[in-house]
Amino acid sequence: MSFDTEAYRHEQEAAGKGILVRAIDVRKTYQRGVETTHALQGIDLEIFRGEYICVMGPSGSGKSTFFNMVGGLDSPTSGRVFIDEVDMAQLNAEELAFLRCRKIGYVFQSYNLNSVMTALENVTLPMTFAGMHADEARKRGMELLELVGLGERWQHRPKQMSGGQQQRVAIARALANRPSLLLCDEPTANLDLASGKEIHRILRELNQKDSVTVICATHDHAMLAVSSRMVWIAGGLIDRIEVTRNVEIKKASLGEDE
Amino acid sequence: MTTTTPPIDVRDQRPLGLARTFALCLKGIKHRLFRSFLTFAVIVLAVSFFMYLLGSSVDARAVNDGVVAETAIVRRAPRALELWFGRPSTVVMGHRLAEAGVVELAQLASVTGWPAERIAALAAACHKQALLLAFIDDLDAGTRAALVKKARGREVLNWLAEPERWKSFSEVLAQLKTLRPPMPVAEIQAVVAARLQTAAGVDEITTAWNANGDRLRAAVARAAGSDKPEQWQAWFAAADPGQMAVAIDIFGSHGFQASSSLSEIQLVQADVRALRLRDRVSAALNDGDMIATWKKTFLSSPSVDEKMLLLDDERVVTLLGDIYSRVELAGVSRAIAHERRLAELNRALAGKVPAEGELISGRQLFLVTISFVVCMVGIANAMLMAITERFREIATMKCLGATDGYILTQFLMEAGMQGVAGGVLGMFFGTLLALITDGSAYGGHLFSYLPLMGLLACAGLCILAGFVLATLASIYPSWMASRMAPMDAMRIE
Repeated sequence: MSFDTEAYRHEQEAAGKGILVRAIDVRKTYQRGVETTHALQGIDLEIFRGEYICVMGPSGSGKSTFFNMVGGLDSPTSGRVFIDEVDMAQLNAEELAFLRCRKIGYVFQSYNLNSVMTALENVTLPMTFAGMHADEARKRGMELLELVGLGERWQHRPKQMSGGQQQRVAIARALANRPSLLLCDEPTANLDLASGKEIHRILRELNQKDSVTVICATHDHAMLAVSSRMVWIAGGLIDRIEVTRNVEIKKASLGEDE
Repeated sequence: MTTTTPPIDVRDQRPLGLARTFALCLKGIKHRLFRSFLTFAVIVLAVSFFMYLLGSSVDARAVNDGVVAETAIVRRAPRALELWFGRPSTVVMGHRLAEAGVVELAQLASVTGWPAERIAALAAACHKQALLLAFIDDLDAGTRAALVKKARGREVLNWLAEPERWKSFSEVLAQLKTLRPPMPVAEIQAVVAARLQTAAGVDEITTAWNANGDRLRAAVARAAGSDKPEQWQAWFAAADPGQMAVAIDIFGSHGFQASSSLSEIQLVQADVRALRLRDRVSAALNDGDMIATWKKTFLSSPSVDEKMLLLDDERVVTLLGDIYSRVELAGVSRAIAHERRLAELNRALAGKVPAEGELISGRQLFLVTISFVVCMVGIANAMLMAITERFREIATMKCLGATDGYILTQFLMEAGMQGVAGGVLGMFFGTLLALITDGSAYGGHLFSYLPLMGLLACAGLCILAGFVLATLASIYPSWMASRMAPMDAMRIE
């Protein structure tokens, strides 16, 4: 790690920002027949509260696997992942469901909205799972839809909306239970430029105004610009970490990732 | 959103209540119901087959009950006449005893003055004997020859009475395992052993019955003023209230209390009148002159039966109208048509009426079971496919906090709802099919006997069957769905 990163760390600690995600020597091995794939070969990473992390890496780099570990969707072969000092490997299925429901919000590349439900029903679904009263959920769902600028479209089904609108509904859904962590898996990859910008703006606002910690896998240079740190993953290891304000974002610097 | 995130306090995710799961399923079901067309169609098919069999069977039973009741009414007068004026032989008496119900047994007791237990014992012996003889009569020739050689009918009992023959009979019977004798071998032996005693009992009761009958006939002969049985019928048919009182008194004092109430005997009298009219009309139509006229009129020679059916035809009325009134002729024609209808229905019913206490026959049950198994395999297969297609939805639900239990319940519920919907539709198709086929088999008469309550119960059973089928078949696919990994939500196709 560079000196800059070390300085950044001290800065965060000085500001009283605790560590939200801590990954210690995370390894993941997939066994497919006789073939063994080492998807992650020892990842160490600390993410502070309120950070905006961009994760980059070519396909097959282990980026998605790392995401699954942090999101509580899969468990590591060895090593540990803590979220707010809770070791996820220690949790049973019900506790993991609880964690996913309330503490982590997911935004997917292909939106993953329930096609038979309206925008509002999609947004209130996690609240239903959390056991929130229907009226209350409805009220909060409308607030969230207004937050992403879709208050008028609450009755629309995914098919009646553009990709950008669907992704905004997905962000509203991810925020439903006030998560401390927002995991975004290439949220703008399927979107046109203007829609992508809108998503950037919303994520950035959430991060800055509401201190939501965002971890975002992306190749989108516009997205990198708003992040606090950038993490490159290659070959199942962390290749390098840069503090964004120390780096001049250029299109050229992304060439290696494309 | 708060600026300071509270520390994580991880607990078990609470299961979503059934009511909320149901509400969530309902939101999607109208979109999914017809998307999984295969599942739906398979349920509809299996349930409509089930309903068709059930409906046909319930229809057949209702029609049969109606036919039996109406036949009893048609036979009321001949039966009463036979009872009062007939002189049964021992064979006839044996049959009567073998088939006697509670009413008949009481009648026998009051006519003969025998104690009820003695008659009941004799009737039971006759019944067993009849069962045994019917069993042997119904065997195919080869089996029968192996069991009782050439003995036929009642000879069988005497044939079996010889110890050596009995030995061979019981050995052969033990070897023929596919045979289903009506009673255990020990009982067969008892029936054979008791044959003489039974025959003596039947003789005795026949004698007692006929002695009573002789006294009754003598009394009737005095009242009617004639020795000829035909005259007795005429006397009874034409009896005025005063003569009716005499008849009631005669029948009542000779043990026929049951048939000597006024309303009962009046019904019989009306039936006897109708029968006599019919006989006279029949005789008139069979008369040489009439046949000649008939031939001249119709240039054909239908049988008397056919002519009887045409009695209310305008041309017949002109032929017979000076002897019998138009109303009388129409009544005779109607009665004959009614009897024919009953006979036709009986033919149509052959083999269709399920055994007492059975909803459908064993063979049909086998077919239904096969169709249900095939249906369940189809549903399970279609659902497994649907679930692999819906991996993203399932994984996303899990990311949003759905537990395995919720996914399992949701898929079971969806299948259950499909099952109910398919069951309702299948039930309608099946009922329709049953009504069409039974309507063509029994004609419009089906609707006069239509067993509404029975059909409703079957409909309920069918909907339940649809629900149970779909739910059972989806247990495995639903379990597969509940086991899907949440990380599949990230998968890109």
